[in-house]
Amino acid sequence: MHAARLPICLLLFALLTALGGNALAVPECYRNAAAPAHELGFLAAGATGVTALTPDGQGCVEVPLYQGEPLLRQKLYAPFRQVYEAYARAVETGNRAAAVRTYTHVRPTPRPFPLWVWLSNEPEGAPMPWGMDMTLKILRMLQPSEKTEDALLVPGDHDLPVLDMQRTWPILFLLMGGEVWPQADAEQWTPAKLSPRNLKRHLLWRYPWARIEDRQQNGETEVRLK
Amino acid sequence: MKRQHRTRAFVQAAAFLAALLCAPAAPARAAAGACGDDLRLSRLGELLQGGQAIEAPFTVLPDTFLRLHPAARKALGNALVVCPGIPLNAQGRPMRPVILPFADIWEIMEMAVNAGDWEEVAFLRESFRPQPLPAEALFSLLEVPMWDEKNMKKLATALGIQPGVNGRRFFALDVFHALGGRAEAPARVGWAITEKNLSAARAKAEALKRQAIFVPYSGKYAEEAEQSLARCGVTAVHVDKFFKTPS
Repeated sequence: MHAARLPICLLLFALLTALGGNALAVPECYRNAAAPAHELGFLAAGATGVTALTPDGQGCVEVPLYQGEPLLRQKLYAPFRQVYEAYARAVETGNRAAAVRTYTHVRPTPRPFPLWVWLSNEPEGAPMPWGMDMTLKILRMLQPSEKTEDALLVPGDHDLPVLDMQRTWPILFLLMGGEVWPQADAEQWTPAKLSPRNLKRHLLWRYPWARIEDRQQNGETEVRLK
Repeated sequence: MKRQHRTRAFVQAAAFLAALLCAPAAPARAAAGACGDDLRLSRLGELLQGGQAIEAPFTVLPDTFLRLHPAARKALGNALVVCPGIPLNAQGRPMRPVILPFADIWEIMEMAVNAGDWEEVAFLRESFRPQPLPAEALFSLLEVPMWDEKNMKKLATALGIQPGVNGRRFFALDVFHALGGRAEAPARVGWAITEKNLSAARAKAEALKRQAIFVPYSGKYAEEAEQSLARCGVTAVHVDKFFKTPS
């Protein structure tokens, strides 16, 4: 009986693993695209269109361009990894125009609330490819008039340890215009890894309509999205 | 019976002829009376880049008008008409403000600020009004936008906002108000102003079965938040005062 179950269990495990992997994988239509959205900043002026991801990251949409920008201004969703690699390229080549164009139009595909669910294994389990110096270079390029440390902080929120690498992923994600979307279970109370105040402030940079509630439960802070 | 067949054949032939005659005109405009994007929109980039003249009217939905690339909008000029029947003046501004959800206007304004396009910010200010929001929704706009000080100053000037918070920052709610946004109905809402007593205030409100919104602001931020809400028609009451007054 047990021996008979084993192949089924293995098959199920393989299937679930594959499904889980696909949730983060870049779809083929995007990988094969001649002009993927994250390349927008580097495209020639005469380019007529780009391929962007659908907000769920699973499909593709063709977006017509006019003078190198979307004819109808909309968020061009691209995989988070490719977006930050585009920023890194802009920094390495000193191409501020490319960084600004990316910043204006390109967004990493939205992630579910709460952020730390995917941060623990993002992106695809790989460690962060940059040191903090690259993050700071990107910030300086995007907001050259502001003190870099200020750019990392929401005004009045000076208690966040900016050099905490664990927290760099969500900060980068949000700085690049990443959105946090509620999941079906977002209304469930979840342990807060950041203080609710910091979490709310960081989310509200780009997601000002989020309504986050917090509560104390058995000495722990919990949050949920309303 | 024969006559019925003849009538049906005649109607079919007339319909075919009508379809044939109308077909060339169909791509140029939406069906009479219907409000929708001009069917040429999907090829607009190509048409403009090819230097082709665009025959008026070029009708677009309000959201399309908001999102249209500024250069494409300028190229279309007075040929543009915003559904339902809002023509543009000589400066390319709609004759009356186009009303849209604030989230959409904010998204495009954010792009304009990020791109340093202040002409576009002025256009957005003059051309759009946000739809009124329920009082509760206004509280979620009590957040300071993330731009640096230089951009915050420029945006304040462009929108006629007096930066209140620390003399240099303002809330997203102030942008909503500067664009002409208001609360759906005047409201009086209870709120907490310090983070420390937030949980206690919430527990007290629950115990008293009082509806209240809790905002973790104190000091100058709380004062500014209160004033910003008041400008939009919402009276926010300090939590102590709120609990002292009967429901």
